[in-house]
Amino acid sequence: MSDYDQKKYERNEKLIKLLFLWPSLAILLFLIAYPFVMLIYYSFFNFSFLRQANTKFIGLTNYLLILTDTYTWERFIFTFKYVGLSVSIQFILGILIAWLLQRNFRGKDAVFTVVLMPMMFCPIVVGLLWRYMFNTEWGIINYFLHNLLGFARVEWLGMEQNSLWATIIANTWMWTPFMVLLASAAFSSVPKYLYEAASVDRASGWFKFTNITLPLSAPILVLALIFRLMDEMKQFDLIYTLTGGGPGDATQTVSFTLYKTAFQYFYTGEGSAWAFILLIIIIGLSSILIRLLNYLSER
Amino acid sequence: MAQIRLENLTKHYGKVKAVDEINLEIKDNEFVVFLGPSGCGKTTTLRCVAGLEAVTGGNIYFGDRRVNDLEPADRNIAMVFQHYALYPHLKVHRNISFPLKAEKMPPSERERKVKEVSELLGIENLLNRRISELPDGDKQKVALARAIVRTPEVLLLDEPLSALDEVFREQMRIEFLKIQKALQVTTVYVTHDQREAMMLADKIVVMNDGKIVETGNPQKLYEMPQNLFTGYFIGSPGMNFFNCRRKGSGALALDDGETVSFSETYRQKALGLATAEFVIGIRPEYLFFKQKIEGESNYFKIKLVNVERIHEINYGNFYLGDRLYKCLVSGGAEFGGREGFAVFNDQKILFYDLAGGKIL
Amino acid sequence: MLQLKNVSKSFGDVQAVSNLSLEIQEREIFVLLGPTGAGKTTALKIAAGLIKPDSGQVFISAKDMTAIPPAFRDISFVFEGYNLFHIYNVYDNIAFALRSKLMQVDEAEIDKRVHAFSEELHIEHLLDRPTGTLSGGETQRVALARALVRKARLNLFDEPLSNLDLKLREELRVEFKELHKKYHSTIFYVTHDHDSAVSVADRIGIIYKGILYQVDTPDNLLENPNHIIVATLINYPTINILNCSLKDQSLLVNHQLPLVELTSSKLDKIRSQTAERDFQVGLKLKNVKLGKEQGNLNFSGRLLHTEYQGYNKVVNIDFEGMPIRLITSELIQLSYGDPVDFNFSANDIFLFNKSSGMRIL
Repeated sequence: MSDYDQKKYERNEKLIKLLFLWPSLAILLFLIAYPFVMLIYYSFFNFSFLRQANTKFIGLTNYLLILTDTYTWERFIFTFKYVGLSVSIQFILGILIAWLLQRNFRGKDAVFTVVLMPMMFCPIVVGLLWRYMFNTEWGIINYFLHNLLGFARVEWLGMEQNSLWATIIANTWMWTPFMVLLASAAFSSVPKYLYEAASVDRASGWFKFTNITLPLSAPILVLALIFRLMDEMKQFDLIYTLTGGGPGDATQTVSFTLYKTAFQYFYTGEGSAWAFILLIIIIGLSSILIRLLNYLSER
Repeated sequence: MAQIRLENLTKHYGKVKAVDEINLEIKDNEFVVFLGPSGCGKTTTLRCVAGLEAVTGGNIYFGDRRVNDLEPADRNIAMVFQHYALYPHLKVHRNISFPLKAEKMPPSERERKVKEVSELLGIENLLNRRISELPDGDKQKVALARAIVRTPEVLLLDEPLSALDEVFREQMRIEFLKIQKALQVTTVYVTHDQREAMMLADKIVVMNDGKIVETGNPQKLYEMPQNLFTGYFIGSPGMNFFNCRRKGSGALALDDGETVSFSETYRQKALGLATAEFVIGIRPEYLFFKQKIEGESNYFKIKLVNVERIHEINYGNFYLGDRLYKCLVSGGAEFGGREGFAVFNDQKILFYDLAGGKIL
Repeated sequence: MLQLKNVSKSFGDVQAVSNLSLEIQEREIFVLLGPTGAGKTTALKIAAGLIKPDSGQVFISAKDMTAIPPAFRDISFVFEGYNLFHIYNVYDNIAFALRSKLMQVDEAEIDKRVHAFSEELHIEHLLDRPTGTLSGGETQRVALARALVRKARLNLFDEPLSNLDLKLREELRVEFKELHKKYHSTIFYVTHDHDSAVSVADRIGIIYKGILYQVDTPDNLLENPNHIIVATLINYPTINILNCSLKDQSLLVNHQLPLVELTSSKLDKIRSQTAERDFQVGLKLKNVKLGKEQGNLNFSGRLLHTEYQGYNKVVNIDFEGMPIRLITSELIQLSYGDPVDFNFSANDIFLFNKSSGMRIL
């Protein structure tokens, strides 16, 4: 048994801790902390990246401009509609599919893999893919609807109402597998003997689902919800390639607006303010959900 | 309220024979305990009776009905699991009333039954609590309440006490007995703890390796086990088994050569056995340590290694060959190391053949 | 050898261990006995250094080890559930600790020790098996071998026998004791299983809800419990407890039926310790006898039922609405509801103060 040299041991401990920490610290500092501070800084100026000469301190003007513009609120409403609908549908579909995939059957692994594949695509690719599929003239979706089923051709990307649903559909296609994955994990962690007891008690399948599966899976499902909500609020790639924000600005979410403001019009200061507002909203939503998660975990 | 009959019941998992041609009759209102070590097939048998496992071969009858193909829900059984298996999302009274709701019993009836059952188990004041708040012992009581609330024909219990502390276990054992007497329900209980089996059972079914070794009431299995395994498994500590050889000279030698002296009747019996090698079984409680022989006719020489106190009875440990045995001593640790004799009574000795059956 | 001094630890709202002080001598088997949640695993892990106490100190061989990590304390630890490394086979599991740089043991010596201990524990034939294929008893032996092979100065065991079947437990207890005698190790063992504690321990500490109530040899704890918790936990089956009140010179049950008349010396003793009048009488099952006996206190009740335990039977009697149990080896021919007599001697009574639980008589 070698002797315990407290000083040497503690020094070594500290060194090892530092060694493991510095990459993450460096990233945090340079890629997140610094830009964040600068973001807040710029939001108080009428700063523009391209025309830096006339920079003036304008205090909260950027924020006021944004928050008093009706255009802003339209964007927010659309974003909430889009996020709300997307996530809800993904949530319900995901749970349903996971529930169906619970039993062991031949080829289950293959089916599972196929179900998960959409998630593995790049959002930009997905956007492009669906853009072609949604093409009014020669897109495959309209082919099925019009040529095979006899409905009128739908102008998916050209009309306001439809474009909302087009983005929701593409989004759902891509992200439902995520819900399926997490829901499956949650469902399989429920102890089997609970279902057995329910069988003995003559419980229906629905009862088992609502009183055993769902309550015990709740923490993980809420976690999945948090992930998806936060993600959707930031969603950019898909919309960029699918609709470009259009038609007009019909599918322009808050994050897309942010992009336009900062990188098309180069109103960097104003863009920074947008970013900050969006951040606050996401943090707010997540906190509420995290509190819900804690409450559920305790029960 | 039901008789259960198992006819050549077999259950295979791939190549493994978990249950191997079991034949058993359980009478109406009997409290039967399946007793055996882990992996002996007792839980599997119970689950077959419940309908949670499909039977590979053989039949199960409830009364005259063949129930092999019936779902658990249709067998009118109730089950208490090792880990309570309570519905986590419901409060206590909803857990208990659930089976009644499934039967579409009117609410007033349900209330009454839940009240009845919870009073019987002493948990009336817990009805509004969440399951997660309850201590383990109470959880098991709720599980029991849920099981009996609809007066099933058969009550099945799968090691219900193994997850509980000693203190709760004692309480619950009495509850089980009380319940069974009050409800007159045929009960099948699975455990590896022979103390539980002894305390609760009308009939114990000793199992090992998928087969039934022996059945009988606790007293019979304790005093006269028909099989080596039973004698070893039942009783705390288990029975002593000595290999005995009939030497050419007519003397009888134990294990490593110690001669055993028998009273005349037993001597004749031992000499008259068909095989020259057999096994003698005698419980530690019937083997006494004495330093000097004073007229006893059944004895052999031993040296005590130490004294062990189990449940306030002093047992002396001694070796014969390289196997450890126990006997009763009339004192404490001071007897450790002493040499003397193990003395026993005529009626308490049993003979077994080496293959594990019994001769007497 | 091991000393815990005023150790306390809480987890959030729960006070796991309160001001616990105990001392373990060299070469003894010390068992901490208490129900689940009593704090015994916490105490053990504090002794190991796996948990840091909120306050208090840990001394091993008179050196203050409170701040020192487990690896440097020269201890071995067997976890409840054994925690074997499933990527290694049995041999490598046992040799694992010996191969650490801290131990400075060469490969030849390691091989020698592994073989020696696996022979002791009857697992030598399992040395090249993967640990996932072992039975419960075999796994436990491997865990024991892994701990003992280190010849550490202190061995800590957390419920090592609890996962095993009853019969296996009984066998391994004896082997355990033999091993201890042979290797003179110092063992700190925690469990909730009364039988294991009493048959294995040199001394037992009774712990409940984070508080250590009494430490003594099993015999002394049985004869002289200082608190009702001790009496309840050390006796199996647990002792009879009757609520009673003091009136004039008698202890009354249900406020009217006299149970015991107290001698003046006993009364003085009571009065000198407390002015309260509510007490609990503890009566060991073996001290209650069937039938009537001259010179003892005789009572009548109704038979509830008899538990057959083999050699002994435990008789449950309803006495004025309270349960009384006794042990006898006689054959009982009575049935439910029959009147049954029982008796006990006034000298066999433990008297506990109801509010504090402390023993008065």
